[in-house]
Amino acid sequence: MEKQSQPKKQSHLRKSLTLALDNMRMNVDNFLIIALLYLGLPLGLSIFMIFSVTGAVTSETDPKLSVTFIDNDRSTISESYIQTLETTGLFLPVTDGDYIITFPEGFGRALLAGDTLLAGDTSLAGDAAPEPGLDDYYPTLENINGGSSGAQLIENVMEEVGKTFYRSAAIQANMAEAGLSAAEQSALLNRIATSEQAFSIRTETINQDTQDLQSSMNESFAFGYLSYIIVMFAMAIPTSMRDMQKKGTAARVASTPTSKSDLITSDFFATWWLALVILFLYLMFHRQLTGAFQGNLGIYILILAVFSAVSISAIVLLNTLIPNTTATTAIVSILMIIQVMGASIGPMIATDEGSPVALLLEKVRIDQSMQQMFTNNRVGGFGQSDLLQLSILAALAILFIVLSVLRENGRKEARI
Amino acid sequence: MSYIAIDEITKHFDQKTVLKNVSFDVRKGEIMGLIGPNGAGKTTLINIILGLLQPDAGSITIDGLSMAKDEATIKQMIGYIPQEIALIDDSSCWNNLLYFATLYNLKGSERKARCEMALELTGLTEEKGKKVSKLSGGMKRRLNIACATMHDPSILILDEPTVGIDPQSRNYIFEYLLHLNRDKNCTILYTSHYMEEVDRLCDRLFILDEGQEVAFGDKESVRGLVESGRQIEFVTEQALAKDVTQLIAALPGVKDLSTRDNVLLIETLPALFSLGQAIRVLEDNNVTLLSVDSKQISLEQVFLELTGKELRE
Repeated sequence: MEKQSQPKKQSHLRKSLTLALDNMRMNVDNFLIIALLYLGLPLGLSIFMIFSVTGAVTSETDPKLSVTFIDNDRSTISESYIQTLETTGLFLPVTDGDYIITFPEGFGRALLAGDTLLAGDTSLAGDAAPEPGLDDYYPTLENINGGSSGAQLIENVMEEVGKTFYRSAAIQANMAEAGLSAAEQSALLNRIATSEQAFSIRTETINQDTQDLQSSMNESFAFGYLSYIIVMFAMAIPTSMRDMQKKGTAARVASTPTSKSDLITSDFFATWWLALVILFLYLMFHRQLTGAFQGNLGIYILILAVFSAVSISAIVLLNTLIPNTTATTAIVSILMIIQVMGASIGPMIATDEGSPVALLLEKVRIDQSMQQMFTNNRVGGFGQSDLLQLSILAALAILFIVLSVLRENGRKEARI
Repeated sequence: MSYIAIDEITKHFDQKTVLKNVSFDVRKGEIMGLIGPNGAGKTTLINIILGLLQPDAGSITIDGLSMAKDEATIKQMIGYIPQEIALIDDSSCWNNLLYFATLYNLKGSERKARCEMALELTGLTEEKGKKVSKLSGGMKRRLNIACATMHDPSILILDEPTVGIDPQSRNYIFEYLLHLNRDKNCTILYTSHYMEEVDRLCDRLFILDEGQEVAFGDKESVRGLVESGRQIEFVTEQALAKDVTQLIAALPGVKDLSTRDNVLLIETLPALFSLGQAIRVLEDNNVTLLSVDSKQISLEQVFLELTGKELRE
């Protein structure tokens, strides 16, 4: 019997990857649409949001910085410190200021006792230094809606005021009261100098945080559209499946010798790769244009790779579980609309915490953990637990694909 | 010997029987026509042959192989051209070809060579980089065929491949199919609404209506199934009197008769009808004959006779 000559069989992985490349090539034929819809639109919107919001703040004409002082110490020292700050004439004390300066409980006592010199040291009064450490007794600055230059100014003023307090008569008196000899007092004053140095270091740290606040705010706006891009790509899967069914292409593809698992994995890879390219471009544009996403680039890419993989694979699975592609498309569309809304409004409602709208939007915003990882990466705190979480998500993505393949292979008839 | 053997296929959708005990075979290297009105079950049958649907009963073997055991091998043997332009519209001709070539397990330099050849054979080389959506209807049909044939299938299944295209493209497609059949010994299962296409291309026919076989065999034997084997047209000098037409209608072998002005059209049963006898009746009644024309009945008429339906209903 004459048999058809068969092409040499290629491995499933190799065939899937070739098909994925073919798929990508076909997508690139629509470069303009992809560039506009998947990159231009989210990039434009996010940049608009960043400049419209931060621009409004920086255009304020009041020369004074609106500051809220929160004095949790309520000591004479803290009150004196605040008064000194106010007498500079630079600040407008209000209850909902653009900047919040908080004096922690123990601030005055620690300053007087010299406990702030070095955590764990014996204080001038002979007591053990308060735990857990030096930083807990310094005032902190939060930038709510203010510009970075204002924050910088506050830092400088606080540093200067802080230095005068170290040289204050109160500390001198405290040393005498403690019965220290002249030599001991001199040694301690040297350590006070170290304290000034420590204070300076501390303010430097605060200064970095402040700069980071601006970057953080930009990142917050930019981040929301990252999720939009991911969901848009995920949505392309049921949409293209529906189109293929409508045009008979699904039947034609199903009539070829390519296995269902190859088709599913190639769809996944093609969508994922293209999503990664667009996400990377989006990330880089923001790094250069708005100062967002200033953390480790490799970690950002890793986070995006895993989160986009898990999102796309989840939609692949949904698509195989729900036979009606129109229904799947509708579900994913609703997810996307909610996501975009939540992501855009999220940063603006941050101060309105607890309101029903805020709660709703907070609930529907995608991947809070992804945002947390982005924040961790920005402040250099990306660690083991983040890696563990990413590993779990990557495993989940693989599981979704495996389940999709099993579901399709278990189907007796093709979805045409 | 049967190359494609379709044996007692039955298929239900919900409570409706779409195919009932359908059996026929296709020989290696022949062009088989599968015809039937809309809703006859043709596409369902094709989908079962392609392994896209499962029959509720019956079996199909292709070259002795069954879809259940040898799905990948059988699918590699088949090229399928659906009724719709089943391509990726927003992509170029070339990228569509590459994609389908990969689906048919072609790879490396052979893949590209086959794609180039497919473009050349279908006259689309100059349209290589053009998006499918920018092509004319005929060009799309040709690309549709190219995507299904570049892997050199031994079986080609076409479901209404010429719907909505110009005569030039239709001829191009016919020539291409005949080339595949004659030069590459490709077995073709051809479905169409156009009987003249089936008449021109196919060796044998399977007529399907309401999921059941109506007729099966070569074109002549299918025509023979219809008793009105020939159509005879008499053109006379003047319109015929009623009594003369009654005499003609009473002759043995006359199945049906109609008149229009000076034209008399009769459908005959070839075994019983005598043309000489009919001419004698006309002459005896002083009718002057201008011409007599005898035609073979068309497949369209055969179909109408067998199913009581127009093919395009």
